[in-house]
Amino acid sequence: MRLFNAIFLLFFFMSSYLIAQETSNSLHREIGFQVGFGINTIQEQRFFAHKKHYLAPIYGIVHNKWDAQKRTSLSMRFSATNGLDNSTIWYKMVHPDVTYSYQRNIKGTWIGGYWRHSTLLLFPKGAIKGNFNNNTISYTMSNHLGVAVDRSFTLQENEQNRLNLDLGARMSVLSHVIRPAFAHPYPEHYLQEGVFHPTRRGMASSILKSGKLGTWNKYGSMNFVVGLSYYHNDKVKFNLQYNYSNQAVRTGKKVSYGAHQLIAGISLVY
Amino acid sequence: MKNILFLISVILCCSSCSKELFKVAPKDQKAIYDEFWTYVDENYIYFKEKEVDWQTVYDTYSPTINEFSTDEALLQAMENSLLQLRDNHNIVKTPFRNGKSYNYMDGYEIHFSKDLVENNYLQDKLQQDNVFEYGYIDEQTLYIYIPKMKNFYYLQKLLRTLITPQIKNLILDTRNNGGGNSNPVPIMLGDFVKEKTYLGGYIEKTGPGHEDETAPLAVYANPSVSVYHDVQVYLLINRMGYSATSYLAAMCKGLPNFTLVGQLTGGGGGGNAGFELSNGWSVAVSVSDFVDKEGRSIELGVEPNIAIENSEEDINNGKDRMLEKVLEQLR
Repeated sequence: MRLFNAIFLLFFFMSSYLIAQETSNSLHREIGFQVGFGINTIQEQRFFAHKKHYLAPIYGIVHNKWDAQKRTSLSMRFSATNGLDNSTIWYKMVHPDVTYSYQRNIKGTWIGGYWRHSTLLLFPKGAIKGNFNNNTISYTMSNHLGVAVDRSFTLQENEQNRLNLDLGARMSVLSHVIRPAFAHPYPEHYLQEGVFHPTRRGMASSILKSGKLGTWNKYGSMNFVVGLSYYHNDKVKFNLQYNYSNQAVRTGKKVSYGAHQLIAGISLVY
Repeated sequence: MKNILFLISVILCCSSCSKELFKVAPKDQKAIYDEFWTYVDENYIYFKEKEVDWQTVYDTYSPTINEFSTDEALLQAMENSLLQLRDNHNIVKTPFRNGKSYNYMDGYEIHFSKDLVENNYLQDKLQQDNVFEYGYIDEQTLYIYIPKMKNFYYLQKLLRTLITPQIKNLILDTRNNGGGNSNPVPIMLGDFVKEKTYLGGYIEKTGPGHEDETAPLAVYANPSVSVYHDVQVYLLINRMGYSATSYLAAMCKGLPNFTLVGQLTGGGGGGNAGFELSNGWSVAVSVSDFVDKEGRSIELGVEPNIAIENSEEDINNGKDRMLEKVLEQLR
């Protein structure tokens, strides 16, 4: 509840007290590449009892399009690591993430909705991984719909250059999550007469047919961004951002995934 | 600018809330025993079959552990708890040693010699192909030794090559086979059936309650296209045959033309799943079951159609009574 109140406060202050930057009526596009790293914390009840911390590189592509009234943004990121854990079991992690948002300009604040797809794959590795022969993978495939709010403030500006402070927040309202039904990696749809097969034949299709809908109390996704963007001649943008991202499945075998990410990017504005 | 700084503070405060999403990892030995006990309680599938009251196990072993207990004492409490469940698929692994596992062979006479079969019953020496070894008892009887449940797609190909029109009898010897992967067995058995045939059912845990499990999920042998082995098959089994070997025995038992000869298998119907405890140790327990065509769990073993076992004296005297029982059926 404390978290919810904090987010509400954030939205309130963003929309009420701050002054928007000026926007022009022409259509702008931006395509860019990002690279960075994240300090990740994972708790996955299918595999381990305690939190795991990972340092992982991040690679991303962004494409934004905006005019004075509306803005769309597509961000694709990929992160993978073999983990940095000292225990005798460690986990390979693969985490692709795609976010698309559509926002309208309301008094200088971009407010709208977003869709986010995130897949988190974990594979046990290490000296005593033999105990995991029948649960060699855990997957969390989630699709989230939610509220997206962004705002930028111009800190410095001259004829050629501009420095902006960017703030953003995303919070899911409705999510669809696919997880293994319980201890084995089978999804729920696969545990049916005529569908199940011991060779796992057809399991990929069953994974896509499984999944449950839930709101924030069951499945949640949120992220906050604080960034600095430096525009040169309104053609090239250099960007450095801190991104906090969190996802949680709070039913069944629970999983939580949080990441503090520092990401640098370069974009072409056209 | 004040507002901006305030906003940044709010964002950072929000991100620190993530700690609420995580349970604090237990550190002391007692808490780790509790973590272990809870994992087994929520995931193990055979409490009913084994008639074990897991709470009683907790009441017995939990008091032996306190926050100052050594790692060895903690491991002993865990392994002794698991031994109550009499399941070789349950195991604790630590960096310094693995926990003792249940010995399903205790109390059984298990005597088998592959050399004896080779020297006293086969026309020639055994020939090895992949992990399998084969030879001929006579012109009509093919003998194949299956030392482990591995590469069954290859075994299917091998059988298609070796079962010629002259072959009328097939002896599949699984004695001392400790298991492996039984998943391709239904596909291989497709070569031995004329119509879709029920082989048994898998049961999977679906939740933390002791009764949370699926109904048996049926598995069938579907007739292979253009291949049908019209032969009498004898499956030799003994108590050392465990896990996937018991699956094979259960799937074969009751099929037309199949006869199981030997001892009760070692059981091991569970597929286990691992879990890492907060101290870096791992525990695995059975989370699935397999039931035969009559709906009986194979966890406690698969009964042969013809029960017979070798004594040590038989082997020393150059006799394999189990194999001879098969040969007696052929006459």
